[in-house]
Amino acid sequence: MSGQQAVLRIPAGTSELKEVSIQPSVIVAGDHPAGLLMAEHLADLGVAVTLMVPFPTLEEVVAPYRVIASADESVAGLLQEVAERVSQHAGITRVTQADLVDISGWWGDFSVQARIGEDLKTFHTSGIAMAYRGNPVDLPGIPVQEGVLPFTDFLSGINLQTGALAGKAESPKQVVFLLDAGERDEKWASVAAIRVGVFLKRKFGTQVFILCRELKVSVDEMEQDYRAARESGIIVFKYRQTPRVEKGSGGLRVVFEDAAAISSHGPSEITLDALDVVVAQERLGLSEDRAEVLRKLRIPLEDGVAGPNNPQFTGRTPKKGVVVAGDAWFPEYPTDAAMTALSAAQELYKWVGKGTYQVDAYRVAEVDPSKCATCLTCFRICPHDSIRVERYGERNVYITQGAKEGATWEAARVKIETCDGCGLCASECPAKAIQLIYYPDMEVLDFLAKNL
Amino acid sequence: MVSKNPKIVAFCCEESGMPAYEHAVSLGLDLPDGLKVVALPCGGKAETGYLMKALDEGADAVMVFACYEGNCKYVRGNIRAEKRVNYLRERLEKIGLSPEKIVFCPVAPASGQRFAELVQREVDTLLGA
Amino acid sequence: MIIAEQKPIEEILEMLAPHKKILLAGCGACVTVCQAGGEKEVGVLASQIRVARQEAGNPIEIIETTLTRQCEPEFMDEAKDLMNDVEAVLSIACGIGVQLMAQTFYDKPAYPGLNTSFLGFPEEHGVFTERCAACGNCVLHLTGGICPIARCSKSLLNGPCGGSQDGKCEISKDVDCAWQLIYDRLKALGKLENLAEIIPPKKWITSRDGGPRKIVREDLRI
Repeated sequence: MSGQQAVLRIPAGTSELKEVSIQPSVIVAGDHPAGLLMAEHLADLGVAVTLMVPFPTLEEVVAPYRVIASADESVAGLLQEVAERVSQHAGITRVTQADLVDISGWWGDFSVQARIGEDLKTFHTSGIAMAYRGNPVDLPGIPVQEGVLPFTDFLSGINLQTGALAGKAESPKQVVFLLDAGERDEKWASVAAIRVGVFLKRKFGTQVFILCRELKVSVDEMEQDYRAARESGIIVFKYRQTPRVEKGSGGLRVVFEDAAAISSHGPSEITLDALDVVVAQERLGLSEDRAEVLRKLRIPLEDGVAGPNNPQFTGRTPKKGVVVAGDAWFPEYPTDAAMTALSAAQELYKWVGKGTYQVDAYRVAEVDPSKCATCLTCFRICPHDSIRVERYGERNVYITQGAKEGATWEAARVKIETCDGCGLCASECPAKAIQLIYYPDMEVLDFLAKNL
Repeated sequence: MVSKNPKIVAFCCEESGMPAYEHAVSLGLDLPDGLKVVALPCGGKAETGYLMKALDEGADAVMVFACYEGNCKYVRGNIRAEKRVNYLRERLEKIGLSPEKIVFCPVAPASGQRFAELVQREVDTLLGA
Repeated sequence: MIIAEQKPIEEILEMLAPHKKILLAGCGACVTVCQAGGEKEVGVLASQIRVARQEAGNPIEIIETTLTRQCEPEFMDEAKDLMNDVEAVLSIACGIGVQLMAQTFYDKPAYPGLNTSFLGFPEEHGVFTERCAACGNCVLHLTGGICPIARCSKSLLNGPCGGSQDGKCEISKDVDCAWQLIYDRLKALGKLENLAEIIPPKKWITSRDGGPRKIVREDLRI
C-alpha cells in the first residue's frame, strides 16, 4: 500500500539564528563585457563596486565584440556606450591594468590579491564576480596553419571600415567559417557566423561559406537571420567528418564530404579552393592562472569553464559570494552572456546587498575537535569550501604527554555562514568527528534499529 | 531467506529521491509495506556506515535514491554515493552475498512512477534470488 | 604517515571463524587519516562481518571501539574493560597497534584486520604512494630530495639503470623512474655535478639488515 511506509524525515525548523552583517561591496574582475554589465547592475543597486580590468581603458573590454555589434543591433544596444557609462559611474571604483591573482576567505570577508601593473595589492570585499573571456585552447581537428584563424582572433582583428584583416590591406574575397568541430554544445559561433557573415557580404561583398555539423538556430530571431543569410547568397554546408584544410594552388583548400547530398555514386566530396581565409571555431577555455584561482576556491571546472557543472544555477558557483560570467561560465553569444551576467549579478546582490543576514547555526555541520585527526578529508570534499583546519581544539589524537596547559590543537572547523548542511563532510569523515547538528547519525541509526 | 514481504531501506536525497517517493504516494502507486524511507539532505549523506548498518539491522536490501549525474545541488554528492554503493557491492560479493542487496538509483524529483518501478524491481530481484 | 589497507574480507572472516564475540578496535591516528582503520571503518567492517556471519548461520557479537592511538601503551587502557568480555581482538591499526594489543592483552588472540603497506602520503585524495623506506640512513641531501631507496625499484644509489625509458621504470609505465626525477630536480637546482659523485655502498646495518632496530634516548628517559 502506498503511504503506509515508515518514513524518517529530516527534522524541520530551526533553533539558532545568528545575525551577521555584510558590507555591500563587491569586486568585479575580468576582460569580458559581462563584467561591465555586472558592475553597472550592482552599482545601480547601491553596492560599492570595485571594477578591475586588465587593460588601460574600459573600451578595450568591448573592442573585440565591435564586429558582432556592427552586425547585430541587439548586441550594439548592449555594448554601445556600456564602457562609457561604466567609466563615468559614480558608484564604481575603476582599477585598470589589474588582474586577480589570488582569492581567499569567505562570503562577507574575502581577501583578494590583484596585480596592478607591476605591483601586488590586497583588497577586501564581501563578494566577487569574475567575467573572463575564453582563450583559444585549440582548433579541434584542424592543424594550425597560415590562413586558418581562430574565430575570436578573426572577430578582434577585422577592420570595420575596410573589412581587412590585421596585417592586410583589403578585405578577403571569401571567408569560410568552419563551425562546431568540437564536442561542446556551443551556439555562439553559429549565431556569430550567420550575423557577421551577412554583414560582410552586404558591406564588402565577401563570399561567405559556413561549414558545420549542425547549425544551431535555437536563438531569438535566428530563423529570420538564417533566411536572410540564404537570400544574401551565403552558402551553408553540413559535413560529416571534420573537413581537411590544406594548402592549395592560390590559397587554402577545404575538402569535406557533404552530409546533405544524396548520390547513387557514393559519398559526395566537395572542394572549396583558392580561399583567402578559413575561420575555425576554437575551443575556448580559461587561461591556466585564472583556472587556478577558481580551483583554489573549489569551483569545479569542466573542459576549462565553470558552467557545465552547475546547469541549474546560472552564474552561481558552489562558493557562496562568488559568481562567474562570460566565457569563464560558458562561451556564449554576447546577448546570452549578458543574460547570464545579469542573473549572476542578481545572485550576488542577494548575498551582499542586504547588509544584515540571518544565518542558521543549526542546519549545519559541526566538528568535534577532540576526535578530529586533521586528515583534511572534509576540507577536500566540502563543495562550498566551508571547512578549514584551525588551531582551536582543546585536544586531539596527537596529544602527547607533557603538553602545556591551555595549549590548543589543530582541528577542522566549519564556517557556519557558508555551510549548506549537505552532510558530505560528515559522511566521509573517517574519524566520525563531524555531525550534522540538525540531523545527527543517531537519528538515522535509531530509526533503522526500531524499524528493522 | 527473504520473506514474502522483504524489508527494503530507501535512502532518499531530499532534492530528488524524497520528492519522487512523495510523488509515488500521491499517485497512489503500489509500494511494499516493507519499505522504510530515510530522507537525507543529499545523496552524498548516504554513508557506507548507514548502508551497511541497514543490512546489519536486518534489511534485505538497501536502495539509494539520488540525483542524476550533473544535477547534484552539492556538486558531487550523488557521485560519491554511487562510488560508495559500488564499493559495498564488491564487498558483498566477497562475503558471499548478492550485490543486488545495495543499489544506486538516480531519479528525478517528479518520477514517482520510476520510484515505484525501481522498488518493485528490487522486490522481484530479492524474491527471485 | 603509515599507509595501510584493509585485508581481504574473506581472510578476516577466516581468522574470526572460531570466535563468537570479539572486540573490533580502530586507531585514531595514521590509519584514520588513510581511511583504513578509523571509527568509520570500524562501523562499516563490523556490520560487514556481522552480516556475513548471520548469513552463514553463525552469528558473531562485535564490540566496536576506536582507540586514540594504538601505538602507545597508555592508550591501551581505553580497551582494557572491553577486552574482559571478548574472546579476541581484531585490530585495524598498523602492525604496531596489533602487536601492542597482543602484548597488552597477552591471554587473548589479536588479529590484524589491515595490511600495513608503507610509509607514504596521499598524492591525491584516495591515491597513496610510498616515499620512505625507513632505511635508517637518509641520503635525500645527495639526491635532490627524492629517495632512491624507496622510489627506485632496485634501490640504486647510482642510477639510473638501463630500464629507465621515457622517464618511467621498466617495471610499469605507471612508475616514475626515481633517477629521472633526481636528474630533473638536480638540474632545476643547478646541482647536476652531484651526479658525478659516486655514492659509496650503503651501510644497510641501519635498515632491516641489522636486525630489529631500537633507539635509546637517555635524555628523554624519565
